[in-house]
Amino acid sequence: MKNRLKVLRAERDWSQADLAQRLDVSRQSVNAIETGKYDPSLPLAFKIARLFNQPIEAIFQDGTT
Amino acid sequence: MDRRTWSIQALNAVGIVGAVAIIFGLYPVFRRWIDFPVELLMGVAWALAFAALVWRKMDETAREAHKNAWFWGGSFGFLLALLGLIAAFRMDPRPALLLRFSRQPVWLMVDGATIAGGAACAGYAVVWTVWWLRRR
Repeated sequence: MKNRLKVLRAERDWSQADLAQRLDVSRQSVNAIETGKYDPSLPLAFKIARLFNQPIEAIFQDGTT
Repeated sequence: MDRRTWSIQALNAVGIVGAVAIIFGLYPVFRRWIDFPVELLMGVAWALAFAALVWRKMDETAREAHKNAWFWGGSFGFLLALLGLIAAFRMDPRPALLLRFSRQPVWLMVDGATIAGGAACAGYAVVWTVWWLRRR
């Protein structure tokens, strides 16, 4: 699944560690999500969406649309 | 440090003290007033509490890694060990000679369980490592 996490993070000048701290996950998790190697659960996706103040579908694209 | 981390550290300390006590000879002293099943139950209780706290502290990616590792690595490690043991016994029907330290049937069972459990843990470690390496 593709996502705009890296772009959104860069816009705020946050490091992966900063974002990880805000989401209460490990930096490795943020990296795995950013690179599309791990799809977050729905609760974590909502948490990410709330943090960036955007709808989920504006951050995550399933690649079929 | 949050409360959960403190609890894990406290359990770590209890585990380390227990291990040191066993290693440096306090074990015979404890043994006078603690029977084996009680020790076993204490060990199981400690392991359960430790695992529960660690599980609650880790994030979903780490949990996913553990679940994958136990399902794939644990299952296939266990299966491979069983197939290996069956193949070994077919080659030599005298298991006591195959497993040198075995003398009585009960120890053969212990050997079998140890080999199968060890293989499951080895499979778990392999899959866990590969899971994280692929998601670096």
